[in-house]
Amino acid sequence: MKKALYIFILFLGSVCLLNARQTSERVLVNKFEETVKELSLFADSAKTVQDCAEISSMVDAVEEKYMEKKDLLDRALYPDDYQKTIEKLRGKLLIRRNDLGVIETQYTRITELEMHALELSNKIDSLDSENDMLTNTIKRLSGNKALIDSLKMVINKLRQNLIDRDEVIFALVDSLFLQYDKNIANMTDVEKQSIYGKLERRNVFTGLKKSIEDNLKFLRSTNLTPADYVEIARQNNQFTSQWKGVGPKLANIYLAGKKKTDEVRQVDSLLVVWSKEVDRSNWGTLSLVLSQNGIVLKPFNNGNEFTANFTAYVDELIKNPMQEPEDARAKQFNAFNDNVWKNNIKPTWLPVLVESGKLTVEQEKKIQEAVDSWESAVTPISPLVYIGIGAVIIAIIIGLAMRLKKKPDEQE
Amino acid sequence: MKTAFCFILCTVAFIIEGCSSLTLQPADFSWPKEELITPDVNGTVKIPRYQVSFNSKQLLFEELQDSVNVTKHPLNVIRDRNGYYFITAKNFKNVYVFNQDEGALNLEKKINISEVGLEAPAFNQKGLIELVNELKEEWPKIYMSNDGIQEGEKK
Repeated sequence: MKKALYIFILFLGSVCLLNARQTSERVLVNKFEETVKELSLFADSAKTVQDCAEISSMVDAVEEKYMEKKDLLDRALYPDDYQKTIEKLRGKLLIRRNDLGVIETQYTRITELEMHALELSNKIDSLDSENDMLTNTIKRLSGNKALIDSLKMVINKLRQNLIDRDEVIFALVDSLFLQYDKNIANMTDVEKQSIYGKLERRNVFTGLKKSIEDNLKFLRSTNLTPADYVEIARQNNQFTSQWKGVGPKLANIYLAGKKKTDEVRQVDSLLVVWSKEVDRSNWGTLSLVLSQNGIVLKPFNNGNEFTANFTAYVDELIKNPMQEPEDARAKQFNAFNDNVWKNNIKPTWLPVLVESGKLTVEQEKKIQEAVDSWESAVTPISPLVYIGIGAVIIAIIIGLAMRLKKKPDEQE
Repeated sequence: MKTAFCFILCTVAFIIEGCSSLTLQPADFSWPKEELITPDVNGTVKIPRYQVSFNSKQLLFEELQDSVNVTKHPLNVIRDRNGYYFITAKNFKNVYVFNQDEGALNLEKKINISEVGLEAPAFNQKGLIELVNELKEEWPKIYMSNDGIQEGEKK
């Protein structure tokens, strides 16, 4: 079956080549006849429901490929015409499927997954063209300040589309692998070859690379807000974890083909570039957010540096070497707390940075502690605290006095 | 006398009318695609689909001066709408057009196509007979009828 499958792929390939040069119609008709014969043999030797579904999609591919030559084939084929030949092939496959005692629901499920894969593939195409259009619109609107609202809308739409596209491409890969209900390690060579063919037909690698490239393009475009960068970091993180799940599977499928193994590596390296770029933009934007609110830290490019520089900065403020008055220090803290910390860094940045592994939970805790210490250092102690402490001291004194008074009584 | 002459004339006219051939029109003898057939050791070419056979030795001798190694020369054969057979092969400089006769094919036209011989000729049925060279993309197609080249020019 494996050898036959290779031959079949070669057939389809050679048919494509036929279109590139002057063609003998006899050769084309012969190719069609040979392909039909091959598919017929495949149908005879099908051993599982998966084989049947796979051959069925091959028949679809052949029918689509030769449809434009229908007139010629109708005349040249004998005794059946083109449609009848395809119908006979499908009939043979149906009989084989019934012979195998295939459970209808299983077949239906695979067919549904095939359909789903096709829909997803089409959706990717339409998102691609829409995204290209949106990217061009962003370029066009970028220079015009009057259209800033429109620009924001376009950016939001593109951001959402990129997220959708990333989801769709991974859903497509999932739906292709789902048809087999088993680990790659347990797959036969034929099953691997079959997935290989499907991945090729749906241009999965091109799709994955395009996803990363589009995300990179979006990241490099101007006019993004800090919230956009946070969302991009989240998206990058999600894509990376999904690729970690899918990448090894694909590498396993493409184990034999050097070119395709290279494609897995290409996706890996593109993802590294994207992640680095996201990293750089994230730290840069975070630094900008802080400096715009008067918190100028030493430059930082990773979680360690950010934590160290931020805590050092706060320590310095707590020490108050410039001997600034209490109210000025409180004002500075409150500005930071209200404008940056409570509304931005704590609820938005820190969770994303922790989620994406750029910051550890300990580092997050350390930053929180630094902010708490800063707050304590600049917030005057409440009179209630003094009253409470006074009450406790008085209670202790009374307690001691009563005890001392009791002792002489006992001696008497 | 005059009456007798008229009677004889009428009788002859009726006889001629009664003997004239019956013509069925229109008729289409065209094959949808060419057949590529290798002659057997005797030089006989058999085309099973159309139940046609003929001997190719004289043709191969005429073109290649070789009527011995006949099995080495597969022939491209196609029939046009009017029933003429067009035959050529690799290394042929000409396309031969034959007309069907009683138990024979008669040469109708010898169309010179190439000075050096065709590399990979193939006929296509396009109303006229199209001749292509499968190995050369830039090779202009030639369209022929039993009267010779109708479109394109010899190489």
